[in-house]
Amino acid sequence: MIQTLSKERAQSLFYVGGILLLFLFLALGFQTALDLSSQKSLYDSSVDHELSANVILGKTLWDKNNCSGCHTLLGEGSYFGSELDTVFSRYQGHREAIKDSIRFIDTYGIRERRVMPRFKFTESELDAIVDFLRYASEINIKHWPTPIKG
Amino acid sequence: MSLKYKSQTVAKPYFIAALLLFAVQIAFGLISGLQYVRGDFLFPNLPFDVSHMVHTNSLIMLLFLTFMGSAYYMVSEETETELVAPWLAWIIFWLFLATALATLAGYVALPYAKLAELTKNDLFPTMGRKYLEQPTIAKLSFIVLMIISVLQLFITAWRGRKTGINTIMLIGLASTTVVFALAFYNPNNLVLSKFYRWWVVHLWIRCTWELMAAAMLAFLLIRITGVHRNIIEKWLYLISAAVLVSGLIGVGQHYYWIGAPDYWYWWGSVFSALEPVPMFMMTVFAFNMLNLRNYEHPNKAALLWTIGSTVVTFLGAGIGGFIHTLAPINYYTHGTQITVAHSHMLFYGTYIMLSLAMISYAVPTLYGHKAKNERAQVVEMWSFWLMTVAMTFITLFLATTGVLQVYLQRYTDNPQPFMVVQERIALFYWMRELAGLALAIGFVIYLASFFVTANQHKKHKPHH
Repeated sequence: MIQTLSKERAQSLFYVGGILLLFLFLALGFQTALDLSSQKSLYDSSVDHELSANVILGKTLWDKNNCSGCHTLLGEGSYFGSELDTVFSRYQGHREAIKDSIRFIDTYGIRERRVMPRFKFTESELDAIVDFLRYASEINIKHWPTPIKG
Repeated sequence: MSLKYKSQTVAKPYFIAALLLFAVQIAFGLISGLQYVRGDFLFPNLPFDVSHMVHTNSLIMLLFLTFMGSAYYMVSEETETELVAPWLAWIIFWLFLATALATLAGYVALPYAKLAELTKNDLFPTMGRKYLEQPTIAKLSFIVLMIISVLQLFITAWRGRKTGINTIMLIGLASTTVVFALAFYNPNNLVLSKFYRWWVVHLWIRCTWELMAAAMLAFLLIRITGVHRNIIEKWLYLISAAVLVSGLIGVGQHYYWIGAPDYWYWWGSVFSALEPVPMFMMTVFAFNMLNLRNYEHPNKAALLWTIGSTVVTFLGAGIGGFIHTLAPINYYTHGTQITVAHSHMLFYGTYIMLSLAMISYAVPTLYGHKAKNERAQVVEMWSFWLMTVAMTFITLFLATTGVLQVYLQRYTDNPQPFMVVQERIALFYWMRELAGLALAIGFVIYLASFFVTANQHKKHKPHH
């Protein structure tokens, strides 16, 4: 089959195929962007559509401290520390417990275990992080993963 | 002299710096690998997120350096003319390397949040996303330098013979730069942020870099086998078409569980299942051209890297990716060590091996030889086998941790928490670390092969 095909034919196949698929890709991408900016497809109906200032601050802190350098959210990031998309449900929505787990990490100095660096967050920053983690836990990811064990 | 155009020598610093960064990547890979089992190793001076970030970022930087170096080397030879303004390539090189080293040094020397403040990340926040952790200003520097480099190469290519290899290589380099610019878009909406991050990372790995890999493969095969350009470039266009047809919408393989709409199950599964096709074509292409070869090229080591790269690409990136790309399977494997296993074989097989093939082919010519002397080539071929077998074991041990993690943490009736599982699978992390050491030794041997001299006792005709 390939013997009978000319180089020019292959060349047009590349350009035509590439451009067609590029348009299809962009169309799908923008359709998704539209879908995601409408409330229903993104969150469970119980959650407010607008992101609060605290959630946005939480996302900023998450990025700025390279949290995804160890943890995953929605299954993405690094696989060194525990998975955090389910942390809000694992802690049964107990905000203080989540804040404590950030505050008091590495207090005991146990050897050879994976340790989290100590961050100097203010009280309001800790609240923002918890709000952000709550927001992440409420994104509708179709009940992935099955067991809530991060 | 084997070098056809004097300005091709600008590729030399790019290749040397790429090898240096590969050494950095391996060293920091060993550190983060050890931290998986000795969690407080080097803590708190070098926490895992930093060592791992240096490991992945040095990879991306070294690949950009080889892509640009290869483009400089290939384009003037393909165009049959000297590069326009070769001094520009030197300036781009030093600025690129300075940005890369400053970025890596910043990671190691400063807490990440400090680095973000120091580089004014608040003005335009792009930091903190996997593979795209570079400070905004460093990203800007890389992109501007790449744009200048692409323009310089396009102008050069315009002035002489037009070839398919040039076309695909430059489309690949230009689109890599365009896609990189999307890294500046980091919306607050977590789903959208993840959605568009893949437009950079996935499109690099499965589209734009792969086009360059195909062009580099075609360039090497023409030189090594002497098969007619028409046949080689026909394959190149077919492979490139298959790359775009499968790879673009294949991005959907990352969209199953991040809150994107349901239709991505189908788009992602169907198109990413096609992603092994261009890789299989590369393998068939390489073996076919080898069979059709018109002469025996003296650079056996470069040939070994070239052919080996296509095989490992197909097995590691193609088959290895297909195993966990379908949505029902990915439901269990998403965000586990299965991904880690796959990405090691993918980056090594496709991009590192092909980079080493290009370096192995080009560097002797940059020093006025057609190939390394035979003893040096034997040493280099040993390094090929040691590194490739070591990476195969790294992948197999990581895949074992992945399967166990999926089972213990998600699949079984009695799932265990993440950290409990991590401790139970530690044995295989230790084995991975040993295989990593073997890889490091292999790379030292690779570097040493450049300094092996010909046997003085045998009267040896130098390949001039």
